[in-house]
Formats: sequence, structure tokens, C-alpha cells
Amino acid sequence: MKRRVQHAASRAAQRGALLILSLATTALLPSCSQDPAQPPPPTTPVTLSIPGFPPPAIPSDNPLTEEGITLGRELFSDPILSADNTLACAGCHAPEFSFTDHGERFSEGIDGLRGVRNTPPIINVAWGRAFFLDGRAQSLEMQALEPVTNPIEMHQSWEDATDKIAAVPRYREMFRLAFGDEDVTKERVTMAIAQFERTLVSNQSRYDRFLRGEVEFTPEELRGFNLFFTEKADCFHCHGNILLTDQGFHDVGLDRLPTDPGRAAVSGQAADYGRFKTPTLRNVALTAPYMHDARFGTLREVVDHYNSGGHDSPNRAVFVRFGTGLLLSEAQIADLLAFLHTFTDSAFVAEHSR
Amino acid sequence: MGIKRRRARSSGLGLPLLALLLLLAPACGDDDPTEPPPGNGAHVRVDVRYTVNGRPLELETGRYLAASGDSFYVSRVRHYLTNFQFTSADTNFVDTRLHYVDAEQLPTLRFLIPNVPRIEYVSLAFLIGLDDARNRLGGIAEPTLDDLNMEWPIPLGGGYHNIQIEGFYWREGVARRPFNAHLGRAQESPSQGTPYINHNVPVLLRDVVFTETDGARSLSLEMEIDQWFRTPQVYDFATWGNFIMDRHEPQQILRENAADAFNVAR
Repeated sequence: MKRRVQHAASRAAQRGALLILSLATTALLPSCSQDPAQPPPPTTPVTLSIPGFPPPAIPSDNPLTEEGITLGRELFSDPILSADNTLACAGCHAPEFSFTDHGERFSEGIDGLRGVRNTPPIINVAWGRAFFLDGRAQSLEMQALEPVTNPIEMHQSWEDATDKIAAVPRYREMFRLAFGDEDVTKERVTMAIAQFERTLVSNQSRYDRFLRGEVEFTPEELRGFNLFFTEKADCFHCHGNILLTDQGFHDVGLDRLPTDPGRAAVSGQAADYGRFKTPTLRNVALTAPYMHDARFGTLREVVDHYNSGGHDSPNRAVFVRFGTGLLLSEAQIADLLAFLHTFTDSAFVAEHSR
Repeated sequence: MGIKRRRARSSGLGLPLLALLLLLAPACGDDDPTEPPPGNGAHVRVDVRYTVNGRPLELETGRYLAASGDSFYVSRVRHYLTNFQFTSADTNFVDTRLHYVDAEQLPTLRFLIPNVPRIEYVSLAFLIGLDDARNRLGGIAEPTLDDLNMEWPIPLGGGYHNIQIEGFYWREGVARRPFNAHLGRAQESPSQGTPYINHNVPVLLRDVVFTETDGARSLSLEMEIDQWFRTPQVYDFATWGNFIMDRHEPQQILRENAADAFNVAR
């Protein structure tokens, strides 16, 4: 709670400054927002083209624009979306933690309530196929709808949220610039936030630079790389490729009988019980604790789990070595951990923590 | 960051240009080689389906018997099909387009081969997996998200999985164990640095039967999953079950067995 209040205070000061800017902007451009005959302002398209990455899946009805991204960034960081104006999206998705929740096991909502699943990072989500740990949202736009009204998160009706946003002149102008008029709707709010989230691209980690031939790994990192990308440690089948996630749903043998249905709550399939979306390992050193239920506090604990072979849960992934484990030595574990740290993208964190 | 911002503010030229493009658009659509229009008699629609023990594959839930005597179930089947070659008495028609097929993703189980001449064919050949030219690091020019998940790791030679068949096997009274029939590039003798062999599967079918509906031709390709583990060599799950990506021998067994895994369903 302390963190949230401090954050809110900081945001309030910032919003005061933004309000001044907003009033100034509105005073300078009165005719733009008042004249019904004025054509919608043109937007500035933004193309997300990242070398080594496939084209992202940008929805045709929500293309990236500078104006939409700017609005989304503001909304993402504004506690106005919560009922008591104390909690922003960024309150639980902190840039310095790769957009996870400050090392918390479970995020705390405005009423002091907490969920049962760890807050996932928001990174390279422009290539995402499904969102939330059980994949129940098919798009970032759909995902962003839920936390606002969720009683254990921001606990605010969309009607109240959009009314509050529409009461801020600066926001009305930003909506006009992004969407052509001042209408503030929940659809537009989530579209703008989704646009901003799609620009959260990490491709400057030591691992990326190694792939591009810009740096060499240390011997320890290189041994870890070889463990990760062979069937010795067999991490790559779920965390391979440039995204470091297969975007699939897996039960990694955490419990003999899982209690959280995970993906099954969405699919209705018994075979999905206990399965959760594979998280990206980008910035994984910054996103502790780990697993959907945050049971592991360190990467070492995660590696120890896989090295042990875990449990023979009914829907266990084929890559979990129940019974034998990975048989990694202490030295190999150290190598693997060294390699996992090459996924840290300090430039990404610095850019978004400003 | 690589995020390109391009200015595209509307100008007075925009509308006339748009109108011109709209006029031209229908003509352009007819020439798109990747998406022949439905009903065009020149294309062949291919439907892929899977069977095990003579029954349609049921991912995760179906329980089957392998030639080794092991029971098994299948949790994943995904692969590439490419280099379709229709052979008639006096000519060949070749299409090198790459088709990603995933038993879990219905849309991938149907694809089109365009511009196939309307003549009698005596055989059909294709590859399960990628040809050697494409099965290398970065060999797919514009990879999709699905292609990313098929990547074959650099320390194992790089390139892409030709196929992934996964699941669990067990015998009475013995705990289940996973199997990963993953085929890709592997060396016959890594210690001697022998060249990487691309374990794709050439398939030759001599019974090319199209189904005609309203003038459109379709072809149903059926893969028998159990054939991968049956003949000419019974695949011993206990010996090979897992971790075969850096091993030539089990991949070669699967490769030879799988040459007879496909047939044209009637």
C-alpha cells in the first residue's frame, strides 16, 4: 500500500504539471476542438519493424500512431483508471522490473486485495497471441479491459473511468488527436494502451547483441547457451526463438495435482488443467518471483526445479524430466544462470524507467 | 529501438491516388499467386488429416498401441510440407511453396496449390520438412511466429524442425515417459565432425486421386502416425524415446518409416 500511495502522490504532482500543459494547449487550440466542421486531424503512422523479428500482429482496426501511443503511455501511467485514483497500470507493471510488480508475489489492488497469480511482464507483446497467464484475452485491447473493473485490481466501472478521463481537457485533446474526436470510450482507452504496449520492444540485451555478432559471450555464458539450446537442459523448446517463449500453455510439473486450472478455465479441456502460458525469459533476472504462483524467489530455485524433474502431474509437458531430472552439475547450473542473465536488456529498462 | 516513424499526413494527392488504386485493385487480386480465388479450377486444395491405429488422431485424449508394444498418446504434431511435384506421363508440375501444418491449428490443415494443370497425374511427391536449401540458419526468408517455434537451435546445427511428434508412452505397470520424435539436422558422427544431414522425409504417392466438387479439385492427404514407429524398423521408445535431436540413427529410422506414412485418402 505504501508503494501505491507514494506512487499516487508522485503521479498527482505529475498530473498537475500535465494539467497546466493541457490547459495551455487547449487555450492555444480552441477552434480545433470546438468546431464540428473541422475535419479529424490526421494521425502519424508508426511502423514497428524490428530486425530479426517477424512482422508483429498489429490489428487492422488499431494501427500504431504517434498520437495513439502517446495517449496510451499517459493512460498506462495514470491512476485515473482506478476507482480511488491511486493505482495505475504502471503500479503493477513497473518498467524497472520489466513491467512486473516490484518483486511482489501477487499484486495488491486498491482495496488491499491480492490475486493468486503473479503479474506477468509486458515486453515484446506486439508479437503476443494470447494474454493473461491462462490466455483468456485474444488481444492486448481485450486484456486491457479487465483490470479496470476487476474488484481485486482497480475496481472501477468503465463508465466512471471514461467520465473521469473525459473531464480532463488535456485528455480530450489527446483523444481528438489520436482518434479524430474527443469521445472517450473504453474501447479507445484500451486501444491506446495496447498501442503503447506494442512499442515495448526489447532487442538490446547481451543475448541479442551476441546473435548479431556484436559481442562475444564469456566461456561461462557460452556453456550456458549450449545447455539452454540443446536437449541437455532443454529450455529452448519452450523458451527458444527470438521471443524466448513459444507462447504455448504448459504444465511444468510444479505439483502432482495442480489446484489452479490455468488454461483449462478458458478451453474447458481437461488436458489443459494446470497449464499456463510460457512467459518470455527476456529480462528474466528482473522479474522475480517466478512461476504463475510465484513460488520461486530466485532463478536458482527455478533451475533446481527443472533439474529435479518436478512432479508427474497429469498434463505435464514432455520436456519436464520427471524421474530423472536434468542431471545438471553445480558448474552447469552456474553456467545456465550466467546465460539467463544475458537476457537482461538494461537499455530497455532505462528507456522506459525515465 | 528500430521503431520507424513515418510521416503520412494526408495531402491533396491522397484521394485521387486512392481512387486509382481502388480501380486497379480487382485486377491485382486475380494475379496473386499465393491466394487463388475459390472456385478457380486451376488450383488444388490440400486437406491434411492424421490417423492412429486406423482412427482419427485425438490429441491428448486418444490412447494408441505402437508396434513396439508400448501404449502411447500424442500431444503434438506439427511439421512442414513442401516441394509438391505432380508427375504426368510426359511432364512435371512443381510447387516449392512452404506449408506449415499443425494438428492443433485447423486453418493450417488446409492449403492451396495454385495453377496445377488439369491433366492426369501418375504420381505425387512432396517433402515432409524442408529441403536442404531452406533448412539452415535463417533459411526461411520471412519467418512467421510458427516458424520461430520450429527453429532448430544453433548448437544443434541451426535451421528448423522438419517435424515434431510428441507425446508419452508406457507399458503395463510402468510409469509413462515422454517421447519427442523431432527431425531436423544432425550429424552421423559428431565426434568426427561429419556433415549435418537434413532428416526430411521424401514421400512418393502413386495413387493421385482428386476429389472434384463444383469444378474444384481437392486432395486429402492422410498421415498414419503409427507408421512412423512401425516399418521397416520398429521404433523402440525405450531406446530412443527422448533427446534424439543430436542423434542421426533414431532420426534415420523415423525418416525411413515415415516414407510410407502418408496416403491419399478417398
